[in-house]
Amino acid sequence: MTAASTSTASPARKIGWLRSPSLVAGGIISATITSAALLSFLWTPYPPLAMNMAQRFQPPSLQHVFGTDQFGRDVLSLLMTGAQSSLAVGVVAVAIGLVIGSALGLIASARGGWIDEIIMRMCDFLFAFPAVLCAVMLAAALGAGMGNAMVAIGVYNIPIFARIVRGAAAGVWVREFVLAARTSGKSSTHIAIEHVLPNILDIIVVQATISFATAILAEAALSYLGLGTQPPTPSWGRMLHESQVFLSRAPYLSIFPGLTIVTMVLGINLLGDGLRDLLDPRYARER
Amino acid sequence: MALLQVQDISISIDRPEGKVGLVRDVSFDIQPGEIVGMLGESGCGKSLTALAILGLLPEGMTATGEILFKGANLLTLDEPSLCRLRGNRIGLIFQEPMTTLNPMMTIGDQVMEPLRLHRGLGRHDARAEALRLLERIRLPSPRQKFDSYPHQLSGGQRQRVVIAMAIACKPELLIADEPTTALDTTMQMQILDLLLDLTDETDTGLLLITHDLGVMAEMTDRILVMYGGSIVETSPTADLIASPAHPYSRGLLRAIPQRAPGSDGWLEPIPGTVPAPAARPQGCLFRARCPIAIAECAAHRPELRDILPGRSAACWVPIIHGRTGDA
Amino acid sequence: MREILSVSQLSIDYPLKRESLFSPRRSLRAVDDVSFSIVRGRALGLVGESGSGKSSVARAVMGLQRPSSGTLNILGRDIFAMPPRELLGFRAHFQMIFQDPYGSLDPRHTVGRIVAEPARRSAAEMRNEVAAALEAVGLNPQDSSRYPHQFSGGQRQRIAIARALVTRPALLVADEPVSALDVSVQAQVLNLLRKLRETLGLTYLFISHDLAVVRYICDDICVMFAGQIVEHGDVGTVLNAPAHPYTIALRDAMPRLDRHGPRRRRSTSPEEARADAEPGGCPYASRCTLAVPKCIRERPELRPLPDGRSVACHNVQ
Repeated sequence: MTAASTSTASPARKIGWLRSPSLVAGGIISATITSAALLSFLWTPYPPLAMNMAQRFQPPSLQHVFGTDQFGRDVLSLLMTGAQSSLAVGVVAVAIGLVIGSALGLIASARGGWIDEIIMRMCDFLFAFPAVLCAVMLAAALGAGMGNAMVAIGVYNIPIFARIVRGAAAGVWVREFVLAARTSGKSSTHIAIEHVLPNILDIIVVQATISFATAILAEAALSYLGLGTQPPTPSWGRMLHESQVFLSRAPYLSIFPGLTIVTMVLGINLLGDGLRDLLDPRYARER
Repeated sequence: MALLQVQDISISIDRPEGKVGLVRDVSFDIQPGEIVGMLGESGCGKSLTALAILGLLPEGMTATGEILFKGANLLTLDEPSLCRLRGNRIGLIFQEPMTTLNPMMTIGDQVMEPLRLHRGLGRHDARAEALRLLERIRLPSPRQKFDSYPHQLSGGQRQRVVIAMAIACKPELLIADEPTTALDTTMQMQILDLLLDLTDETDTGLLLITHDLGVMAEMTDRILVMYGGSIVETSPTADLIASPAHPYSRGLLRAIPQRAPGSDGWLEPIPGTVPAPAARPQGCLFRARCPIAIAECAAHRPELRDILPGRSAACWVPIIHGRTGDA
Repeated sequence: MREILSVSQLSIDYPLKRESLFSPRRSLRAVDDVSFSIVRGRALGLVGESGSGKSSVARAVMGLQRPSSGTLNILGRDIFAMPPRELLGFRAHFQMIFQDPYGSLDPRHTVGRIVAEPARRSAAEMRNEVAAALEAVGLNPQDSSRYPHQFSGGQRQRIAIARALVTRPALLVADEPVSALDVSVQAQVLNLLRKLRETLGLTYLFISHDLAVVRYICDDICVMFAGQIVEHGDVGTVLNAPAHPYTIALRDAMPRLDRHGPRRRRSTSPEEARADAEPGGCPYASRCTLAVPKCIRERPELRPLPDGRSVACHNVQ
């Protein structure tokens, strides 16, 4: 073993991997749904957008495992294709919020004073705008579409991450090991990256999983208003919303998109929990 | 009759991998007016023993044995009866006054609380009594401080308030867990003097838990030395300081800079570290760090036994009058 | 260069919160006109109670706290006059050991990375130096791939000491390095610090509230009260026969093993400070049993005595 491996897995971490049921379960769920989304680029049971008026409102059967919708489209194929846009929205929106928000939060906690004040007032300002309003404004400026929905939800996530990171980081900046790093001649930027960030990573990971789930649901709401994914491109949220009218006639049209969203959110949350434990070197001992 | 009689107390914690013993067969007693010191390093079980006496062990820990307070077994009492004892007939003083005091309540209200709860005093009487208590513990300008909040007081003043709360109901037994560790030296001395006055005036028994040998030497009548969850020596204070019987007691005395360093001018540390509760070896727990261990020490764990009148040690080869021998 | 550290007329103020928007900004003087120096190979103990300013001095020496006035030279260089970039590199010459061995090591870094940090190079590049530093403090070089939580308090403090040694600094600042440790482990670390001083020729600024520890480690002692030095001299001279009333009170307050009889009471307990000291007078006057009217009016200067020490007291000639 090399004297100071920082990135390679130590024995403690390998044990943590196997012993974390939530990481394994979350990983399997997320991987399954993600591969279904990837698979849909190449193959789906039926062409997802092919309407077949003779086959409208078919309940689940061997031909159509999840049934067909009001246009006779295969729900499973729609869900697989819809995963593309839903996952893309989740990933991009979280990435925007996480990267920009965490950076702002870190800067605010590191600098303090008037810089902190300005960043946090900016966040308050953003907070005051609901995601929907933000999306409406973006759509008005740039036109409706999935890309703008992603950006709108991402922008909405920025102050959430900024606040959480700033609060958690403030607690780390006063720790003695940060003082020790200062006396070692590390610059604030280095300290923020090497000491502060790793020690608040667990909080960021948990927030990312929560934001991922809300992003999928927010996209659904935006699509409903015509501000998100444009028809005929399917997304989970749009499927859920469009099926509402048929709730009594064909409940499965709501059930399967709903279950898919719940499963994905559960998978991501489990993955987040597992990752948080895996990132903590102390975890191996406490189990 | 002894005020407090602790008999064969064992404390264990439930872990996923099974029960882990933390404290093993601890027995001692405290007479009215007596100051007994409990000495040991972190993790030796001294604070747990104190918590067990008060029925305040954390979730997942269980105590077996007998704790007789004036004849009543505290371990079999129900929670309401224990509540009537705690803060009333048994007073408590913890290390960090800031965690004991409620930051949102004034000093006066906090001192009045036990008076109203246990002694049933009305608001007016409780106020008068609380002021009298604050004067007694020599809090500077008690009338002004009465309506202050804890953060407005210094560390020493806060600890005085904690003591006032502990003695509000004239307890028969006081348990003080590291009461001065968080304080400055000059403040520590004043708090210790205050504790001495209180025990002298009211015949209160005091269990003083500390890792500071100097405080032990100056305060207590008798010392219990704990190591790895058991008592390894109990001796009158002067005897223990002059001629410790257990090699661990002797090791502690030689390791502190307060005592003149050894002949070569260096301290004599005890090598190694305390074994973790889950990894306690067979035989004597101190064996691996002991300079005078014999074969017997590895095979069997020594029980606490009398070695001289009034003194006992858990050691196969206790040091008697400065010399090692088989007793 | 004989003088490793020289502090001259150092004052540190901490700004207080404004009471209202228009009230003037007030500040608290934590360190008031403090001067001392340490020559190569000597160890100076800084003692005093909490709030005496001893930790503020340490923070200033480490360049963590900018003084309001005064100068601070390390190896002849004024660290606060240095360009910030240069200071980052210059820090290799003075290192610090913190009080809390649990808080001062980043739980997410390996021991190797922690120890290598002051060198500002990667742990892999510093492998040999890290191994040497770990060995010097009595740890195994193999420990460098483990994490802090796998070590006991005493071992962690050894890791912290190894980190402070890895750049082979001239000056080591130790802020209460053993007060968080158990008695039996405390002696191990104290012996280590003393041994390192002898073998590496280190210079120490050693902060402690424990006079016995200072006596064991240090050559000289500075007693601080309310931000000022009240007595300064050879550790034996000062502690065997303290001259300043505060040093006397501090020595008498230390619990000792060799004083006879349990239940020993010290009737001479100084009471707590009655009120804030007069700004112009001796800071200790309100607690001093020997105070005369002059003490309240006039602040005593630190003056040398024939035996080599300096004392700031009107009553000591």
